[in-house]
Amino acid sequence: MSFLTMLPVWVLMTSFLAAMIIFMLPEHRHGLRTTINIVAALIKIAFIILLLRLVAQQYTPEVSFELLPGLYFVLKADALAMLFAGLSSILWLCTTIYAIGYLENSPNRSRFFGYFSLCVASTMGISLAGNLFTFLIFYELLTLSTYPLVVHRGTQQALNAGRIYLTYTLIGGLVLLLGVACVYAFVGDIAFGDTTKMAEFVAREPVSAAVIFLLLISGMAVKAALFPVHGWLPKAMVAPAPVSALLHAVAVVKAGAFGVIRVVYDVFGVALSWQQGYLFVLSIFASFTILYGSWRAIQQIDIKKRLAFSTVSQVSYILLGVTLLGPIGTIGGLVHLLHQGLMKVTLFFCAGNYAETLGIHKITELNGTGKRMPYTSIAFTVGALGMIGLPPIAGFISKWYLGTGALAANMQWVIWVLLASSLLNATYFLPLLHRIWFLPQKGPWPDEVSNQKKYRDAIPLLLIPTLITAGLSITAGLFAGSDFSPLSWVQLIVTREYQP
Amino acid sequence: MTFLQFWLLLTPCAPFLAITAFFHPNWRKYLPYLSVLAPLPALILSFMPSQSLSVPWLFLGSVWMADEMQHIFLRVSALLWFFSACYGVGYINNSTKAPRFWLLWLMTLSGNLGLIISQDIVSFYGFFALMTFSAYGLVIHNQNKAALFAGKVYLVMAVIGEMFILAGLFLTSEAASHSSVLFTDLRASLIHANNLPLIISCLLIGFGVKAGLPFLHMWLPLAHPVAPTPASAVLSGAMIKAGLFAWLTLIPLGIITLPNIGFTMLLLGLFAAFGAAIIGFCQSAPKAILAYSSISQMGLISCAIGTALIFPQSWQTLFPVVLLFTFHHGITKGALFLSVGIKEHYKSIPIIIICTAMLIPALSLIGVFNSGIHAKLALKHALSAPYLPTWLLPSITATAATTTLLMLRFLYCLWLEKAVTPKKLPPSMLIGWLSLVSLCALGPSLLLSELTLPTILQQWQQALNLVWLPLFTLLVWYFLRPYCTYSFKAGDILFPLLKIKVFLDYIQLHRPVFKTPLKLSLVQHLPAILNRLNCIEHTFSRYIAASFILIIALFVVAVLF
Repeated sequence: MSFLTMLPVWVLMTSFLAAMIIFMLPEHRHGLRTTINIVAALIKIAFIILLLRLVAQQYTPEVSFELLPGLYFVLKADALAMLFAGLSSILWLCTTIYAIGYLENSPNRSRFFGYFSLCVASTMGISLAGNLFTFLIFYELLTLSTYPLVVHRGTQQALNAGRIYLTYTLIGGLVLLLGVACVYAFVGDIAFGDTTKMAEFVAREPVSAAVIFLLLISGMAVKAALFPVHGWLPKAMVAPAPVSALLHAVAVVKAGAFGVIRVVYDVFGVALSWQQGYLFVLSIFASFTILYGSWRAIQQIDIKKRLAFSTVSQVSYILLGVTLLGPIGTIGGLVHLLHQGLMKVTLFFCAGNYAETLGIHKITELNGTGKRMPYTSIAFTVGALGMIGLPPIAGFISKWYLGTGALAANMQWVIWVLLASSLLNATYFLPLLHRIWFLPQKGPWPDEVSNQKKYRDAIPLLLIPTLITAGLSITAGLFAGSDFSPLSWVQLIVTREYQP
Repeated sequence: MTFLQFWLLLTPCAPFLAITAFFHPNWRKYLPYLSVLAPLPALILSFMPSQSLSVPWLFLGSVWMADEMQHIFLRVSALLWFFSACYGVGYINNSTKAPRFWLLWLMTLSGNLGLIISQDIVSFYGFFALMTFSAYGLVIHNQNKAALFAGKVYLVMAVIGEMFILAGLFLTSEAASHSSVLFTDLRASLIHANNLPLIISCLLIGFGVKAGLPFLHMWLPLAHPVAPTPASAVLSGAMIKAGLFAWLTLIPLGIITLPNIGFTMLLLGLFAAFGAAIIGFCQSAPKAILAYSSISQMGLISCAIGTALIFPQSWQTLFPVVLLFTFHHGITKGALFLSVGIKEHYKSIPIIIICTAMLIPALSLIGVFNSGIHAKLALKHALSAPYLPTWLLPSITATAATTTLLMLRFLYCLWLEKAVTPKKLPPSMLIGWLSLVSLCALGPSLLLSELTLPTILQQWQQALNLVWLPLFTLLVWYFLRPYCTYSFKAGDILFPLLKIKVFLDYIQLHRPVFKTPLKLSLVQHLPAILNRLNCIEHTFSRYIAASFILIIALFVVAVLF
């Protein structure tokens, strides 16, 4: 096999090997660990760029071997896989830099970065998986590798949160396993993208097919934090900021959403799911989650909790986009996967900056931070306005495609859901911006870190990734029409999806 | 890219170039002067030939264009921003808040200029949002209780407006079967849309918040009195016009016929013209009176738009008149707002100059002075077409009486509020104010040479017809003066609406749920239900495993049988 064909394996291996080496390094080798982390992240980005070029030229590298008779382990880099892989690799680099700054002088860094890389490796596996079985392996691996990150601090609160997280995701995994087993038992091994076998099965046994769909989607829904199984997400907020950023923007919730996309588009086929009415049910759940998540976000007074509920709401935008039949809605859902990732990671970085630099955790403590930490506050503003959906930030582009896609799919009620959600988004983000920029500081900061006085803002290692992701969220929206934007990549995916 | 296209690109970017000065502590002191210069490219652009610029990689493919209508809106906006900034150089004292004010000023300016030249949905909406949200900072600049309240009302209404706009834009895009985001294509396909009334209503309501449509106007009389004077001038002169501009750009007026919506607009416009004037007459803050006057004047324009929706054939003559009226009202209202600041700074200015400069815009707004005569006559001429209802023209004529009362009240309140120990007027304020006043006096024929206006304006005896009603009003007012003692709180219908705030307070869930005994009215049941959901979620998370499997099992059973 040539190097190019093996590329999916190399992409996976960069972070997997990095994880292994980091686990083996002694705790005090900070410099070496940092170097390995950054170099691995850069190599991965280089591989991904190479892969993107290959995929754009209609070439699909695929690695496949038979584990058991009839059970294949497949890694395949198709256009959809590259969307998620690209997002993960960029945000991995940013989050790694951020985590290095965030965890400076704290214990157990070897463990943290090891699991961190492992988590990214499983995310890569999820994106590149070529069939349900491979997907399931990495999906479970992701659950296990994120648990140590959630409980990293080791406090009672963290352990409790970790337990809840594990209960939710393991049960979700179990349901998914059941679904996958059913698929293999009744239909056989289905490569992603090959929907003919499933179509036959649906025609033959519509009820069993519906049950399988339900099992698969329920399994994914736990990670995608769909109502009513979203409870773990706000609880997991006790984790360190880079973990929250990674969990929320990239790894876990997106893995769930991505799984739903795979099931709908590549296992059942979107036209079939629509015709069977599965998508309508899913769209109801997604719409309710959108409104419910925003509603709950308004009630939170902890910044990270508010962001968490905002994520619950925003991830369902992706699911909603998936349920809209027709290219425009699909573009909206898929592009939001990327846009929301960029914007939400920015917001979590900012929340981490506030907490690390000034000890701010509550919304009421944000008064006057705009003067003290202008750059972080600008990044926060960009993220928040993007979430509300204002141009030129990327959020508008996704919202536009979702809204027009809903109309194209003849589901006018969806635009009222979108607008109500935007209104709620404005309700829970604009008061924060008002506090940050217009209200004067209220007493001394809760826990100002004294040795950082020489910096006006957070330390550079925290600030730079924040500004990069904020900049990317603007760029993705501002230059959406250019050939290198996420939007044009998604348009490529969708063209291939709807043109057999 | 040609030079003209570069200039088009420069117009909304110039304020951003000026903003760079904010980021260097030593350059911040130049920010006010840069703000004065920032609208100049737009002013120059408005005298250049028509041109357009297509930027396919920006957003979803953007087109920027400056044509006749854009030129006129750019000209009135740029003139207002220019002279108001000039006035502001002296008005905004060098407090710590000053750099922030100028930063937000420049951002609002960029939004205002940018939306005028945008010809596609995304850049238009972007610039519109930039203007809306930056102007919030201008409204609450003083940060006292009144300003914060006004800011809150402004922001809530603006955000609700944005949602209507977005709904309208989604539906507009559907009419073009989602193939284009350019206004030219959208207007063309809107004509064939089958849910046209819904689309047009969304757009009229959404932009109506900015344009001060009655029942959507509450932020205006609250925001204008509390904002710094130069900011009120541009809010009322230029930003209100942004809503109107959006109507003119997006709605294919003169082609579509929507009698019901048109009639509603017509009635709303007349209601605003009279109702706002009456409420305004009961105000005591000069700027609140001017805000109500703006609502009343915009009512006249709403009348024109309503007429065009009922009788599309009238748009041919109405369109230039609306542009003329916009220009006239923008400049005049700007001059009036700037004159409010003189009440504390009239030391060592000859009384004759003050009186003349106060009276010119006031008389012009009533319609008995130069540009006012033009605007009023042209409007009445356009609305006197034989197929229009006969009651329309007399009602338009009658608004001269209400405007007279408003201006009377304004000058009177200004006189009452004048400072006992006046300060000296900074030269920049004097220049800004007197320049706008002289623009008022110059008249539109010089400034709007490209408009083809009805020939009736040349007949000066027509102008005499405009004089008798204001004079009569003066007489009536003189005799009935002792009986006019009513007063209204600025913001009128907002306060009954604020009773709903009880409801909003209830759902602010920073307090324990279900701990206080509740007596729920019907409207309060919704939050209770939602709170109940929270409780359910709480219980749910305690029994996650069991519940989840139970739900799945139930689903499976339900589907299987």
